[in-house]
Amino acid sequence: MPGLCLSDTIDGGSSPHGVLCDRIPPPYIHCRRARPRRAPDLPHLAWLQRARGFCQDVQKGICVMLDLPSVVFIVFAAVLVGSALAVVTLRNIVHAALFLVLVFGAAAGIYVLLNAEFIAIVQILVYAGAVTILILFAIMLTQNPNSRGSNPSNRQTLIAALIAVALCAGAVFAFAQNTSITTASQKAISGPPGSVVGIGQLLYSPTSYSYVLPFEIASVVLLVAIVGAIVIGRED
Amino acid sequence: MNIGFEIVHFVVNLLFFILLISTNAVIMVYAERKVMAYMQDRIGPKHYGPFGLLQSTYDVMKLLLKEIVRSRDTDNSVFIVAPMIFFAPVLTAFVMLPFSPFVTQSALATGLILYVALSSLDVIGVFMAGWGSNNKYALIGGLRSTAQMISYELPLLLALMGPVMLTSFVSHGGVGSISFTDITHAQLAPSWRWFVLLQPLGLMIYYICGLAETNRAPFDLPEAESELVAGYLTEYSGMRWAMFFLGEYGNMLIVSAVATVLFLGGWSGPGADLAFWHRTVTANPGGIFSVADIIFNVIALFWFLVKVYILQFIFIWVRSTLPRLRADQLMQFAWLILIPFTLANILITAALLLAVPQPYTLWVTGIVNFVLLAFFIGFISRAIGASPKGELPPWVKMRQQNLARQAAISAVATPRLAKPESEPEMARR
Amino acid sequence: MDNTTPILIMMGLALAFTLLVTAVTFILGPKNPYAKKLAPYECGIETIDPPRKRFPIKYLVNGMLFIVFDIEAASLLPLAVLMRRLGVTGLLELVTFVAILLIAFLYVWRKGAFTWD
Repeated sequence: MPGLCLSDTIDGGSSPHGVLCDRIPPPYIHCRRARPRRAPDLPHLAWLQRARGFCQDVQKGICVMLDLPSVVFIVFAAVLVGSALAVVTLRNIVHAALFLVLVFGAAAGIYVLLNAEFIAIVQILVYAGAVTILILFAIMLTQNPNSRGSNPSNRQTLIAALIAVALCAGAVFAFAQNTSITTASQKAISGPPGSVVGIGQLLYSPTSYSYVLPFEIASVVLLVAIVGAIVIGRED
Repeated sequence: MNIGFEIVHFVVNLLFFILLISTNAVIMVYAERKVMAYMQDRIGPKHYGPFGLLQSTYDVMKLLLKEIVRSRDTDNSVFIVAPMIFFAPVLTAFVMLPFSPFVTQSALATGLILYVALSSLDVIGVFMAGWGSNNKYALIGGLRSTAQMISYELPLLLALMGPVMLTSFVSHGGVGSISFTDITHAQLAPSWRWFVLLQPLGLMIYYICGLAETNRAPFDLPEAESELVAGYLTEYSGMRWAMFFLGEYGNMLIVSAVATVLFLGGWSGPGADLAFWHRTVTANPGGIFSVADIIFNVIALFWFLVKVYILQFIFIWVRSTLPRLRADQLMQFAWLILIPFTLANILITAALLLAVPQPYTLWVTGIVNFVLLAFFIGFISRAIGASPKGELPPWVKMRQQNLARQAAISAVATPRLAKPESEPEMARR
Repeated sequence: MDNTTPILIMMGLALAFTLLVTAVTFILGPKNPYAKKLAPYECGIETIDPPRKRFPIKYLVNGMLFIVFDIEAASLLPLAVLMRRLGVTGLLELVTFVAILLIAFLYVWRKGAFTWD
């Protein structure tokens, strides 16, 4: 199954996939040009390695990382969770929709910390700039002149809280158990910082393993979305 | 690079940005009133200072001393936050603009799309202002403005694809860039080739979309005084209003600056180019400490600002020339004219750049794009029914002739229809 | 200081600047509100309707179309950056992508979504 192993020709060398390949179990190693793993030479990610080195000392205890990016991450995460809660709990639906902007913005901040600049900006462009506006237009379409109690909650708060806690616990458990997820993501962020070029080569380049077909299918999905929009907006 | 230099760099740039954004508003308000006055054969402001130069300074002081009124029904939090949401992206967008090699705060690799993303955040501020005011005119103006701004964001982004493709083609490895600094350099090295010579249609469409994004005439429909009072600004007063105002003028500056960077070669100009080519100075901001570097940076900044202010003058010129569009015309212009033209521009440019052999590639692309530009202008002038000679388009003339003929026929068939229906007849009924 | 930090700092400073200027005018400006002044603007008469009413669905359709084409434009950007390296393959991908969306565009046009009243 050679296709599983991503070719490492992307960007001529410094790709993360050469690193990924030797993580894949033995039957699937068909990497022709798998290079020995080397430390990423990215100065602004040094904090991650330092933090990891620190964690290895602690081993079983709670890992405390408090350098600047960690603090920034904690701030973003707090804003994200807080504004997500505001989206759910606020009584006024327009306020709730406006807090979505903050949610998307904080998520974009976390993407930047993960070295995915382009994705972060597209997140702002598409989600904060466009999806929120769409939601606001949809609210404007509905008839509620007062809008004070327009985002009512029902009686199932307790069940919802239980489900949310269970889901969160499941996610935490999965991440704690399966180290491959966390190590893989830590590997993945050591990719080339020129993220537009990296994404372009992943999406469009025919020489590397590329997502040309999914990309073209995405345009069909967009076509379906447009047809759906017109069907909803029909005036007869 | 030492941290002390970074901090000095940041503080100098920050002061420059704040100074620029506030003086720009003052200068532009004065220039707008004066230029429009001369264009309309008036004198304009003349009482305060020589030639009325202090007029807008006094305006600013007056604004600072105004009462901040918040009407009874406003949605407090949204109303108060809206000016911040509108203004913050404007100031932020200055960070990645390369005014000169030194006055570039962040050589961000994704500057171009960040600019578009920030201008899409402005839309949220406009909506919040409209909705938070809780006033009919504000809400209608806010929603119209929102719809307009998102519609024109698409052709704006698509019009910027042309320069991005060109950076890919002029680079060595075939890898382009969407960083403003790299795009500026791509227009300089190895020789002088501003992208306006290769993508005039792109500049034209980008500029039109910039007019619409900043809600300027002829796209100032959301603020149509005669029907919507002041649009989403209706309930705002004092300095809160001024934040919107400052943001709008800042937006004009940014639109002009981005057009300068992408199409007009950024800070390149006589003097700056020579220094750049001969490498007597480094383009790296780390090398500011020699006198030659400082002179180079001043010259570069000068050329950048000259280009920006020429473009901003065109904003004023357009405003005093063109009448306002109708709502339906506005949307149709974005969707049915600008987007097809930008898509065609992308496809044709890409095809030409790939197909034409090497020494002639850029020449052919540029010439074809100029032909497209001529076609675009011709198409618009047909679509809006105004030909260069001031003569009506054929279908309008035909309709007028038909109307005249029908009027003549009806006049012959029923001579003096209105007269015999006189008062006695009416009375008998 | 890398390239993204100044953006965050600048955004914070812009918010602070807005607050500062508003505070200054709050201190300097007069404060004498009265009922007539605080009424919502309505050309000098009392407001008769609640201002927030239903808005036409045209806005919603416009928003949806915007999202679709926005995603298109954002995904064309990496393609444009690599145009020469991808060569003819890239051009074919571009043409296919735009052609499929052009079908959508023509459909929308025929259905009259662009005719505002």
